[in-house]
Amino acid sequence: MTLRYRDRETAERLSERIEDLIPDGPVKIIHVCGSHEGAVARYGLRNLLPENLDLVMGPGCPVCVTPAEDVDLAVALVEDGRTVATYGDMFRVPGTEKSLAEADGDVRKLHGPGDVESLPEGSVFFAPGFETTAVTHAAALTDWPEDVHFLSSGRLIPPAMELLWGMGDLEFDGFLAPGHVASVIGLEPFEPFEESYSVPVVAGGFEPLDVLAAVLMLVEQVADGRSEVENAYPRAVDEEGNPAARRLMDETFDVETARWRGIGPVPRSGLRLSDDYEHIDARRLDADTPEPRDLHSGCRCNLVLTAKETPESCELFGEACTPADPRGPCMVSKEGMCRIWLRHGGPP
Amino acid sequence: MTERVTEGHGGGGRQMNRLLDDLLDGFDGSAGGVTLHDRDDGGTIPLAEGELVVTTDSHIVDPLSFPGGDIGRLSVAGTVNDLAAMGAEPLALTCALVVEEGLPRETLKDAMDSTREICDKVGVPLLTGDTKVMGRGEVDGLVTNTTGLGVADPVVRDSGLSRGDGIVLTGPVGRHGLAILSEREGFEFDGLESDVAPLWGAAEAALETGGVTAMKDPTRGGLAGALNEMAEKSGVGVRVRGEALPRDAAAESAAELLGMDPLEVANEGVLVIGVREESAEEVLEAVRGTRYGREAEVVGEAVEGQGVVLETGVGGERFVRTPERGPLPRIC
Repeated sequence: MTLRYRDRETAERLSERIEDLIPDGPVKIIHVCGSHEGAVARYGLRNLLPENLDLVMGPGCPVCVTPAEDVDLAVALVEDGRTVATYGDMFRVPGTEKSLAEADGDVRKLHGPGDVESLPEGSVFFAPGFETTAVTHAAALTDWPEDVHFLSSGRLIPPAMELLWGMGDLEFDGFLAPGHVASVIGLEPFEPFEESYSVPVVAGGFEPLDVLAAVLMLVEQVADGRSEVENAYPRAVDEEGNPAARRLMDETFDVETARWRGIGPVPRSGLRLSDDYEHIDARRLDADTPEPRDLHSGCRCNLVLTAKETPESCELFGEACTPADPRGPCMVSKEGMCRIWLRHGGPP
Repeated sequence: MTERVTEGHGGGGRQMNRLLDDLLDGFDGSAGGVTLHDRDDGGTIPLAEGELVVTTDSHIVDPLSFPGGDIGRLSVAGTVNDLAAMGAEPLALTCALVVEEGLPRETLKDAMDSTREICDKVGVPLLTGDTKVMGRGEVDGLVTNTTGLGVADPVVRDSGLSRGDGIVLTGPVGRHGLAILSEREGFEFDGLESDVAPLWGAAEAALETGGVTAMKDPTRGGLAGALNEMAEKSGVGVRVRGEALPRDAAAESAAELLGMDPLEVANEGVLVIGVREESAEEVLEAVRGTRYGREAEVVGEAVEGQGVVLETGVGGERFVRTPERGPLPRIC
């Protein structure tokens, strides 16, 4: 039994086609999703790509890009006596001085916002996440307990892609966009890349053949000198996205400039609770937080998150920085590049 | 901040290894054969002929009874398999019980019935034991400790791989850990059972060919941990062909759904056997003729270099690393 999207012969055919089409000289494709990196690492897909094709990861882990100041706020609220609930992945992410795991007080791991009913009065739900998670937050907020606060740390993917493109010191030839994000927002938010920046974008899924098919479409565009927004994941992604989900997000959140950990402020990239939810906005609570510091000594998460370094270039990787005792956020989340590479390694 | 022991320290991964580096420093640990510091499946004492192999295990599995086995079967199989992996025929076992006050007598009796049944099957006597009861809440239900004694001639180490050796795996991996996790989480996967079984028969058959160079039972840390340990201790690399791995459809479905890598999940009824290249087919045939070795396959080989590389099902390649910690607590 082989699953359809893991078929070896098809993988080999895609791999050969990529090899045939790729132009001479280095080609770099960047993806921005921990799930893509997970598939690439787990199935060893880099070995199926030509030597001159570099597939790298950008800031694709919501927990990793949540700035230290947000962790600090959650820690301060816990130590003020409030219960703070969040996703398990957030638990050990270091803040400026400590993580929620190290905070003195009641910290709970929840599978999602559906479980907030179980929290005591005055609790805070700490809510990082990209579009896919933000939608579930928006849906839960339509029927939210009056006495539970919401700490929104949601972030949007297309603005981060624009930032990467605008960095200038990072040259690449195409974006592999996360298919699940595209299934929510559709393809339209990626159009600036076609119109203004002239860089190809292909939305791809997460099975090995999905990834290879998306890479092939990007290589075809590079070879043809095209820069279009294309969909390699039509079984999940509709061009319009999910209009009901988009509407719900628009009603729930305002978009603002927001800081990304180790990267800095990114325009129009953060989700703030709209005024309708002022009464439960945890950012309005008083808290005594330290001057925030995103990176701890030696940590290179900022370079890993911007595809400038691989985890193995970091001296702390797997030694002084492990999932049990992480120095930086990329070693904490299962979506973090360092955590993924510690598990599966880079390409042999 | 006071450093404290965490669940991960008992996970059979790198985190546990770092704890042991600290705790075992300074022990002599040698009786003239395989020592404490070799961290093999057991230690040995040289005899006039062969070596006495000693191994010990505690069992803290939750729940006490699970699809495919229970704590009694697990206690015996786990210890017999540690002996088998050293090439030792089991001679005798001990069993110590730590029981929580209030445990139904029937539960305890069931566990001991199953211990007896499996001892009888293997043909190994339970020679002595110990019984302690702790107050309610002071221990969870039942904890057992088993020590095994066996004689090996010669002793088989986990460090004996040479370049070119084949790697035989006696069955599909991941079933034990996944069966327990599924039971705990209330999922039912049709046909998913723990593989817990005594493997002396499979080991003995392999040893009789004369082609065995190394053995290990991939319990906590899974096949990933076992292969890395064997490779590192032997000074070789290992290549594994994903397509050659024996497969269990129920375990694969469960792993996919639960987001686990079967290579990292604990087994209780599988042996990894290093074999001389020219003996691979003979060992395979011998192992396949035993009760728990029917699904054995040659899954890879020892190569020059270091680390363990998996050729994935789609033809890619990746490293297989020792897990930082086992993915599940209280698995064995």
